[in-house]
Amino acid sequence: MSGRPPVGVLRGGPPGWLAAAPALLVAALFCGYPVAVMVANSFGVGQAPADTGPTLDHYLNAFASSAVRGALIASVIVAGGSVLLTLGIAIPVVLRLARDNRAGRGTVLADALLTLPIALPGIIIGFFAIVLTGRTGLLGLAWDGFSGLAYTLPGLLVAYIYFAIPRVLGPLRGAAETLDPGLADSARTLGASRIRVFCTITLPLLLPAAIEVGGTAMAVALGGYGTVATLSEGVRLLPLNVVNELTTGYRLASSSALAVLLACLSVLALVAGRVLSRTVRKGFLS
Amino acid sequence: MTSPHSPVPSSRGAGLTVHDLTVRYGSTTAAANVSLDVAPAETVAVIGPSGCGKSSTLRAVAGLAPVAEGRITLAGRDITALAAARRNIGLVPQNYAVFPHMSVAGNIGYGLRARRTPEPLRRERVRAMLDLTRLEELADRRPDQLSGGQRQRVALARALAIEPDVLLLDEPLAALDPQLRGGLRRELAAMLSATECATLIVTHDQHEALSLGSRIAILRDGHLVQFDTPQVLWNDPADAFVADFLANALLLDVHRNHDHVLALDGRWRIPLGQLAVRPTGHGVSRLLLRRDSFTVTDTADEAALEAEVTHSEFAGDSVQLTVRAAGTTMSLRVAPDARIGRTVGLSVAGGAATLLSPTA
Repeated sequence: MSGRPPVGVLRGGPPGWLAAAPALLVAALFCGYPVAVMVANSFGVGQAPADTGPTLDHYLNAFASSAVRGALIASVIVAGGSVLLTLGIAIPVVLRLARDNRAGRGTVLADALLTLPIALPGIIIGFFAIVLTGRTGLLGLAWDGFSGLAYTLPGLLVAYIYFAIPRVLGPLRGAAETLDPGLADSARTLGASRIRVFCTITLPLLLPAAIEVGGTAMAVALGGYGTVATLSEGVRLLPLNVVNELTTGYRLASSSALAVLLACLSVLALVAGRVLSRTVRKGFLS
Repeated sequence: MTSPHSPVPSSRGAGLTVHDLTVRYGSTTAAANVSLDVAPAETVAVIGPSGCGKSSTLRAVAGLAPVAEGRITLAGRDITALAAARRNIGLVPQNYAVFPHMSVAGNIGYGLRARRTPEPLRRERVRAMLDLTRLEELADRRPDQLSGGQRQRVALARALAIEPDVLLLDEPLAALDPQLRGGLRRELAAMLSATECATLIVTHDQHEALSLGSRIAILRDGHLVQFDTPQVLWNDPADAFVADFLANALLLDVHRNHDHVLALDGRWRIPLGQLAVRPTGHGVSRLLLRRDSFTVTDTADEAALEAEVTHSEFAGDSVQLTVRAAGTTMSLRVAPDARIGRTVGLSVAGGAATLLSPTA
């Protein structure tokens, strides 16, 4: 061996965590501190008027209130249901778009139309729902059953589906693009019907991504305020209660307790999505 | 086109017949009027450069590409418009497409489950396929725990498990390391001969085509150029493209006189006595020159063709030369110690070049 020093070895570069430092700093400032204040308020150990001393009353009161329980259940139904239904709509769409893309057929217009709602505030989507299915909405003119639907649970579900579509479609599109079309082709040549190919090959391979995307979309939907605020005269969801506690009497502590509940629910959806996705992927692929 | 003297096995009614097949994707014609057939237990290789239409032909047979014109029959059935699932073909795609979420045995049994084969029969068939492809030990493994060669065997076993009327292999060795291909090619050949299933192999590799195919169909720009046995393609290529692509040989049109031939517009005069003469089925006299057909001199010789050396590459036991003479580029092989200048004189090594003559 020659005595030459090694060349081209990357040594003494900046440590990897340094790259993450700005993001961590922003997260700590805009997430860590406010969350701490919110949690402190909810236990009565925060800022006035939420400084009455350590207590669980605000949580107990929240769970004791039938209005809050109703809003909590409605929130889970609307967020979970809309995401599930959106997945049902989005999976065939992303598979089709991925196929078109591979075949060199343009998907720009379809992509643009389907991801447009991501640019629209929830309040606008609520407005759309009123225009279509409000008491004097367009669809209501065609059939009475649609009149006022916007203020009911099914109406809210539909509005939230529109809200969730781009949030599900975008990430799922990427996952569908990575599916090897040779897998479905091989399955078909082996004698499997299209439905069988979908159930035994395509769906199982897309499922981990669908679960993860669904968890994230549900977390976002749970916290969505604009849409339900526009349609607030009907079904009430938890974000409305959080704001209501502040705007009617400035009940900071009980508002904070509800906000913590809402945040926990969102984080739970996010984490559950990731854990379940990983479990399913591991179950399939290990 | 098929050479008039080709020993084509009669396979109408049995095996696979592709008749005047045209495949179009939008306004692009991928394959045009391709006709070929595969007899039962025969292996036919379809070869050609990228974009020649070979994969489109295979996909059309599989029912995965649209047939614009023509007819495909398999085991006596017209399958031209039949869904892929009902054709009874075994497809091994280029990347093997082994289902990543199923075990080796699960992969092999997939087609049998889709066909609702009874459980005992299915197990027996899967075991037989594991045995054929020597995968018994790996039956419970997941595909990500397998090597490329093992994955290929899984895909092959999966395709054969359904007892297909024809086996379609799309570039079966392309995804493997070049160092492993030789051994795996022999292994594949052994397994194919053991199955006695009609097989269509698509490849761009001449070694694969020559060693695996009992007949070879060579395609260019979507058209079938020649379909015959490897020996005929090697010895009597239809045109310069076939000679170059399949055998790295040069095919020159020549004018034959009583004691010599004239090539390159009369600029190269070669005594007939230096050439081996063989009959051709293609109607005109041509000179077939392989890399070893030349002798190279660096001295001016009246009978030699002066050529400019454009590239020289040391290859251990020889030097590969690329030369240009009379507007034609030629590849040849010379001894490693040959003295090579900027120009060389080319002569034909006695008996090493072949005159393909319709009147031999």
